[in-house]
Amino acid sequence: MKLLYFGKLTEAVGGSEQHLNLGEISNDKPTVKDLDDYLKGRYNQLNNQEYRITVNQKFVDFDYAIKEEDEVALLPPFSGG
Amino acid sequence: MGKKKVLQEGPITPEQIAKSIGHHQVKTNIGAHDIFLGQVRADEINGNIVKAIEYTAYEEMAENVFHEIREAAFERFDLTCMHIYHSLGTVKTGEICLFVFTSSAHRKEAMDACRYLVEEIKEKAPVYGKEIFENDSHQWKVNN
Repeated sequence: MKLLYFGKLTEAVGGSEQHLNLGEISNDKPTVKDLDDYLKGRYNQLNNQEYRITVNQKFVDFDYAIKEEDEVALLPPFSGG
Repeated sequence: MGKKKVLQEGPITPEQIAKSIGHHQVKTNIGAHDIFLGQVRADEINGNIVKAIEYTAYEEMAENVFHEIREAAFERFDLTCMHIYHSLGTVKTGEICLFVFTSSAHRKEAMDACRYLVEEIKEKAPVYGKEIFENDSHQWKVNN
């Protein structure tokens, strides 16, 4: 799975793009919630950040089961314009 | 309608804006334009003065969102045409980072659509501004 980070979160995790195998998160069809828990465990700084998660550019529920070919993005509040 | 690219590298120049206005002189069914220009402001935060904003975006998603916003505006308002440009990369204070241009037969549609577009862009486009201070420190911009 491809993981993308934007804005402030690039500093919290120290990068903007990452590849993760689903098996690293959980052996049993990991959901967005599982991924979020995994990332918060791995990057302590994510715990006090506000963000929403998209899969293939769409906002999804926490129970969405992630697929290997998905593009997942962590998006802090937008600040364009 | 095909997708138009919104994001462009660097500031939106006054020349680009003037040229864009000029292109509409052949469209004689237009009776009113409205334009919004977002300009980078030299905010002072804790004694530090902003000298530029560095824009990044989830580019692919942002272009899709801009497209959806455009389509929704065309549905909602009776517009002749509409243009949106947003900067990526560094835009210095005083320079333009957002250009929204709506045209219609009459002023009300053009003005309402322009305001609608700006609000939608601020709310829905995955674009990020990093405020760079004169001492080269930075903070991530927050939209109000």
